[in-house]
Amino acid sequence: MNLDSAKKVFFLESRENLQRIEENLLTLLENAHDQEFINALFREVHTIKGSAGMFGYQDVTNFAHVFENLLDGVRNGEVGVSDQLVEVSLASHDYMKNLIDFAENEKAVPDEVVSEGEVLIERLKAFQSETEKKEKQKAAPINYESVESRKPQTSTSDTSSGVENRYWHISLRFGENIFTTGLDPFSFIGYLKNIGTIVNVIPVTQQIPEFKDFNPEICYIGFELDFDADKGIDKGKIMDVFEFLTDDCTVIVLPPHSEVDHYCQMIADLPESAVQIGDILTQSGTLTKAELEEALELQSSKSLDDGEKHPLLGEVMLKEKMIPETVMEAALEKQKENRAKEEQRKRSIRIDADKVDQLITLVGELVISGANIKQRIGQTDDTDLSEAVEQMARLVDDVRDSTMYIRMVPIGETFSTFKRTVHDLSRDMGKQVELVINGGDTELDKTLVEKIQDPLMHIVRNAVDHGIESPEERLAMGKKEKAVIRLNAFHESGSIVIEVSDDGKGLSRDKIYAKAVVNGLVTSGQNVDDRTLWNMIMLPGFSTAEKVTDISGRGVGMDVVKKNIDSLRGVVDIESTEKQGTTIRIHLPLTLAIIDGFLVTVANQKYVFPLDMVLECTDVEFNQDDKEGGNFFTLRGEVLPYLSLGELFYGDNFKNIDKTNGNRVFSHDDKNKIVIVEYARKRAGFVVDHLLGELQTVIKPLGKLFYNMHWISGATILGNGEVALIIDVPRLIEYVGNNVKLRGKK
Amino acid sequence: MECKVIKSGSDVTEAEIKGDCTIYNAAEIKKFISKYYNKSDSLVLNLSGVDEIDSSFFQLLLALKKDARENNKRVSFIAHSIPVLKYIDLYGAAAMFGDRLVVKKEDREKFDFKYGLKTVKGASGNESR
Repeated sequence: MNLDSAKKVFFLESRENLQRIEENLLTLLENAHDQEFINALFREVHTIKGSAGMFGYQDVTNFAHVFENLLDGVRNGEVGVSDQLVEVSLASHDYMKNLIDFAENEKAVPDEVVSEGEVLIERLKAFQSETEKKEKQKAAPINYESVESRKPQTSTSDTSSGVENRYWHISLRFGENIFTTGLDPFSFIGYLKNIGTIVNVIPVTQQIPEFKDFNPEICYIGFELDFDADKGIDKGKIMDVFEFLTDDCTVIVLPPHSEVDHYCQMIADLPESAVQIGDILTQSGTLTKAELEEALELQSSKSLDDGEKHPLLGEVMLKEKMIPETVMEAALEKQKENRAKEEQRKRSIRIDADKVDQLITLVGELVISGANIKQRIGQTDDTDLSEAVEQMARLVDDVRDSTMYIRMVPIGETFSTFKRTVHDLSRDMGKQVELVINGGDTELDKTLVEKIQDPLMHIVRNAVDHGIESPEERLAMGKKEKAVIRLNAFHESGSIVIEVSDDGKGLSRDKIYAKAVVNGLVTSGQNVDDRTLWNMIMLPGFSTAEKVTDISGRGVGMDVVKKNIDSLRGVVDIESTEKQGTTIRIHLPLTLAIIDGFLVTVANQKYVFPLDMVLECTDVEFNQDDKEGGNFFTLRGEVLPYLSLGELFYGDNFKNIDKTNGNRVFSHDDKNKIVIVEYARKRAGFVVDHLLGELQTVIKPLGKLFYNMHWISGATILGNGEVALIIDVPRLIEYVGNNVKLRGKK
Repeated sequence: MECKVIKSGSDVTEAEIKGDCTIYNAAEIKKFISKYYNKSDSLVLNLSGVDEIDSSFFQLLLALKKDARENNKRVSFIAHSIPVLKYIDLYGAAAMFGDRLVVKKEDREKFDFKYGLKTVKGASGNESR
């Protein structure tokens, strides 16, 4: 493996590290007490430091080192988590990201950036200067003796004599993967013989499951030891024996004649139940029955008046001793291991996007070819052949579906990037906003994800900027101080829906109406329904914001958003209630390159409706009466607007077109064939000449020449070589909605 | 590493495990034992051929004994090889295993057997020579 490809991986993975760091920092305040959370954060920075060092990016390593020191202080409890710490950490994350960008582009870091970094380093160090910086190599193991002096005086600590046990007591528990790391407790325990005599060893087997569930590669056992140390051996020397045990192991060492209190603490810190451990301790003679009872009593009384969480004394004292820097490999291995655990067994591989595109093209050709065969086979008497073709068609279907889904990615990643935006924005504006995300695992095509990012970002910023009121205003209105913005994503009949809702002050009808009048869109006094009014804010030059801020209000936002979404063939819907909030809903078609379609004819030309959006096809009779009320018809009690595609596409000429097709004569009666479609919760019917049935087709884009054909979204080649045009259903429905009005209603 | 069945009957199954009994073969060994553990009332494992052992194998033996005790089955180990004995010695597990440990006179000095000899509830009788 040459260095280049390794470097590529480094950059990819570092960005992932950075992303996780940012995500974690945003919730650091809530998770300040979660030791594992802080550890994870520390490990991410540590990983970047290590890998950057491997590739010689010294500036990254040096900076990461300072950052890591601060986080180390946090996880040791020396430095407290505060707003300022979070802000400095976020700034540090940004700085590291910046450095990595420069590294990846092989550009030298400009001087201003370097001095930025120096300032940041000073800020980071400032957090730790209050507490005495301990030498990282010699972290003092937590002494039970000093614990005793910190705890409030209880009656038992009055006794000056400890337990009878004149030996050191050592408790060992291991991480489940210790066997696979090549470490064997046998060697550690055996080594003790060099500095003393082992008086007793008891294997602790409580965690071993039933044999059928027993995984021989996982470590379930622990040990309780009583040890007679040689003269001159102190606690430190005993702890040193276990120096190389991994982070997730537990080592508790109690000197001879320790206080019952300490045993009580030890019992609390060990995973087995108090009774189970107590049993072992009395069995081995470590504690007398009386002493055990005392310890258990102490423990239960403690858990009553100890309101706050016990500091995790049972955790490895060794955590504070870092694995020697030289063993970088082992450290990195560990990070990878942890990351694997954290990723909940999600197995994935990186693929070049081009390879996927190539595959999709090939599958597309396969689909057409398959359709061709199916059509020619259609009239055969050979049932075996028919069946074989049928099976092949099914397989092609499956391959098609699977391939399509390769390019789908969950939208959650995009959503997560907004967390930072909301955090920064709300802080800048002195508002309190929480971002709640739902449906993050809803999937959509990769290109869609990239294109929806900017419009969504703008909408979210608008929400924070214009929608959400200040905390004081909210309280005055009886709302909660902290506003909520909800990002929601889900699938709905062939499309993906993304909603951005806020519980802010909603759109102001009056203001928008007034602006519309000013802009000449509405005449004063004219009645306009809510939906139409809200949609006006997406017209160019429309902004009712009183203050133009950096972020929004210039009136160049929402129209760009609409244009972007239009280009994705999507639809934007706005709902709002004054004082309660606004919801902006975006519908995007899940147009995959290969779709199921419904074939129809209009004036001898074949068209395809995407099957996803087709509700049903039926015959409808139109009465003259209906025509007077506008282009509406009733279907099972529901009133739907309709449009004749023939008239739409060909205008008046339609009547003159010979629909007998020359060869075959279709009966042309008063019954009309109508295709009923639905998109974005709106329905319409389209009158066509003939219904021809379902088919599978590959969408081929139309050339630039056809760019302005609003109602056609692509073309396809049918099995017999004929070209069929694909109808842009969303666009058509919108057109119908705007132009077919029921007389008598507004 | 080799796992072999020596005698197989409905009341007793005797098998032997030889060679490298460390984490590398842990899964395979467990698979082998599982097969025969449930087949008969009592399982006897001959450990004379165990050349190399680590704590994972020790744990496996413990797990088997524990399961047998809790589910009223019988498992015993015989002819423990020296590596196996060393582990039992250091870990004070003689009583836990409850097997009869046989140590040749010339090997006696390799071991201490100072602790872990008191019988544990339910374990079979134990002697060491």
